[in-house]
Amino acid sequence: MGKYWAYFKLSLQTILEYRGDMVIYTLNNGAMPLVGLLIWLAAASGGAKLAIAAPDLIVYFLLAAWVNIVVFSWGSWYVYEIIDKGDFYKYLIKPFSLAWGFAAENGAQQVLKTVVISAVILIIAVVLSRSYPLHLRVTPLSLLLFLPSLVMTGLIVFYIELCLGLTAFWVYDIDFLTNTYNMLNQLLSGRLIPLVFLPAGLASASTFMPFRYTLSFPIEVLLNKVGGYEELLGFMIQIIWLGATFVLYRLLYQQGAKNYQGFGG
Amino acid sequence: MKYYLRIFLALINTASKRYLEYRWNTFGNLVTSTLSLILVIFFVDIIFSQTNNIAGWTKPEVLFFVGTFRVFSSLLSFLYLRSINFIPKYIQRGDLDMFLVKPVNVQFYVSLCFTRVYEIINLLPGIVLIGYALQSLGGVSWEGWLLLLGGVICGLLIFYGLYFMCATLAFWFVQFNSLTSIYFVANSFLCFPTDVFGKNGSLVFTYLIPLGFIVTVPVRIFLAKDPPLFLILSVFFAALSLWLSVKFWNYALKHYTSASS
Repeated sequence: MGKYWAYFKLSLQTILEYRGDMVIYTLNNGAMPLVGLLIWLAAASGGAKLAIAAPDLIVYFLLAAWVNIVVFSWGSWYVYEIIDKGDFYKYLIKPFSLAWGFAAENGAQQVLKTVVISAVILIIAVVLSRSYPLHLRVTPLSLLLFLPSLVMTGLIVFYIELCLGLTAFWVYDIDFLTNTYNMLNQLLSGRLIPLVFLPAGLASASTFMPFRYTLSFPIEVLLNKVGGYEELLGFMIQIIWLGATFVLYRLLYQQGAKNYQGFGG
Repeated sequence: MKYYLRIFLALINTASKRYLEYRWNTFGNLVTSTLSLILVIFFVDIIFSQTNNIAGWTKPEVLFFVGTFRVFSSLLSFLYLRSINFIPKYIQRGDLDMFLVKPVNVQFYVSLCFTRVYEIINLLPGIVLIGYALQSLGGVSWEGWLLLLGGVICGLLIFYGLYFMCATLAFWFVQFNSLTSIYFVANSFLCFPTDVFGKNGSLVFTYLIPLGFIVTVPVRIFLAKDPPLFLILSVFFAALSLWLSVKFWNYALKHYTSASS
């Protein structure tokens, strides 16, 4: 474990050295939920009778921007580059796990991004609170349940990203897969549309799809938007998706490593 | 001029051969592009199931905007996006030396050396959406089409200048990997009319950072929401953006110290 901690600290130092990059990455991750918020606020100010009031929409999207950054992973590109450049052999001969190594590097970036985005969101919230009565309706229990849900959300995103990257063992370019996943995720995770706005059938189906558990679910838990049976079902489905993505990662890794043909002189 | 046109055509020819080698990638990109368009239409549909207009834009108008944005983003991906994305790497690795010794304008070459020919196919979903939206918007005069075309060309030049200046910053940064993230951030703010960002936001994105002149203003002119004279402002911003990018690039070149041995 010590080597990963050392790698985490090394990654932290590297990121601190290139702070500009990190700020731009943070803006990129936070942009979409904020654009989503502005679009829905424009709709609300145009007289739309939304299922969520404007102040609650603001709270939702600010939390979405925050969660989006906290759980963000760029594992697909990390793994793709390693396989594509023929560097995967290093992980076959060294006692250094691909997933843990990436977790250390990604984690270091997330720590700093979280600090930046928390400050940005706080400023936006203060500015918007002049025009809208913002309330964060959180109870000690919802906060307690939010934390494990957030951790599981982070792990699901982490393993999905790794799985997408591992497909590079079999395909030349993973753009098609990652783009398709990202587009579906953009719409069905709650990044642009709170799931309550989806058509009834799709909203019900989203309960069983993985996308909800990559963003929306922990926010719903924190804001007490789900409760009782629905909340329990949500946690069970989230655990199932976590298990499924982990098993898929292991399978892809093992099969890929067997098929892997490194190149180089 | 003929010399540069010949070089540009030769670059397209090379890129075509490269992409024809990976035909399934080209097909995959068309599928992704079409799927993304379907999802955007779905998104617009959901918004307009709750309201009749957003910041003064009706559903057919927003669909027309989205179609135009798709055409714009396909053209910029075809022309210069990939090439500009590589600039920080050339500078970081010292590969720029290779371009500096070529008998060609360096800015021209680094901006267009990696055209993405398959992006031309991605124009199709955007054009289909424009056609679909026009069924509800009614007929448009040929002057309207000319104004739109002029506006989109100006938009391409404005975006080129702004993005190229961002890439030029790599001369001063030791590592500049986040250039594509700047594109994605800009893309997030371009994919919807700037009017949705409120009065102040719209002013910022129109006159301070002229992102509004890239797609929103041309579409507004086309839909007669803005007078055709606004195109003059588009031309002004396009010329300014291009001029600044050239000046900044030439200034930056003076600070270039090769990284190679």
